[in-house]
Amino acid sequence: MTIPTRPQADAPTEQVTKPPRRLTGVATLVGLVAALVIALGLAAWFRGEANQLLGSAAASNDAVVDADATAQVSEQVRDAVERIFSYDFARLDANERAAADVITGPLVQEYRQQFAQVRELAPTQQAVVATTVPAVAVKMLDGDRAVVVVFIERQAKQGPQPPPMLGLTVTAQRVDGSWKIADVAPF
Amino acid sequence: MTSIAAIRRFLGGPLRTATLAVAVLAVVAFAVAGWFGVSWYRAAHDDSLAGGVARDAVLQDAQRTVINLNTIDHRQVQEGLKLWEQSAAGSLLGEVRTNRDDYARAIADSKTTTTARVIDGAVAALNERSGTARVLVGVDVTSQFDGGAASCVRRRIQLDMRRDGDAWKIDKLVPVGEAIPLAGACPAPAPGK
Repeated sequence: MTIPTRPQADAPTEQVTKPPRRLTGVATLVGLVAALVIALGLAAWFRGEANQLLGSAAASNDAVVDADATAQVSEQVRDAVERIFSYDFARLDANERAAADVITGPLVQEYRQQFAQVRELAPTQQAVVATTVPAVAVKMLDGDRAVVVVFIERQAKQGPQPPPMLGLTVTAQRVDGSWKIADVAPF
Repeated sequence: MTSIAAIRRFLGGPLRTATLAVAVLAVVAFAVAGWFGVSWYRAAHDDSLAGGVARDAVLQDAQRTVINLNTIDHRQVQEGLKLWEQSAAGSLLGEVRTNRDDYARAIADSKTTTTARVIDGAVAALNERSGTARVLVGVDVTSQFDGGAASCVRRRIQLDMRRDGDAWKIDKLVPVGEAIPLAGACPAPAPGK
């Protein structure tokens, strides 16, 4: 007798309390799911906006924006270009050493080849070529890499005039704290 | 009886578990959203980022306006001069306005059309507060006299830019050194540039 009475006693209380509890439970769950969806939506939106700003090419380029670093690149690239493109037939060894200090990467080999020609021709022509840089602007500066637009003026103080050249697009690399030239594209 | 209770506990259990799990996920998701919200806010208020965007805008406007000022067409003189005025500000604008009639006559008489292309360029200085900037550009200008053969001149130019509304215009255009003539028409742009 005790066995059938217990479920009967339990049943009414369960029937009264259970439906509302489950209903509020489900409502809570639905509300939380909605909150989760909203949160995910916001996260995706904010992330998209932030990435658009931070991932742009403008963001990774410190040229002009970082005035000190830009000035340093400008100054060292100017000096390097003047060294690389100037020579004096009487001081070729010194010229080559001075240039070697400011070049790196693929330009090392290229410079060697170019300077071999200078060594061949300059002494007979008694050539003295002076290169100056009237203006320079840093186009891209990202960590240890920079791209610099350099206007150049080449003048033969002695010997034949070098072929006309207006400017260079220089790729510079920072090696041990100083900027060296890795590539030049004349224009 | 114990099995019925177990079933009820089981029925109540997953709902509670799911509710808890979703609650935890929602909290995490809000935290992540907050994180990205802060990084968006920071990026939007980052001075150096804004400076970078301004620098790129200056360069873009400088390239566009210097092309305009190196473009003439003797068959469309007034349209060309209007474009010049739209590309100039400050002292250069004054110059264009003052000499407009002379320029118009000279362009018409020259029977020449020119097109220009910027080979390379970079911003040398930018002062956002005063709305001034200096830009270096190398420009190839192709000229055609009276429908004849095209010739090319390469020149380098220092541009002093001035902000005018939300655009940058040329205040002063200073050629740097001599231009050099190239044989025939100007070379086509290198691929990838």
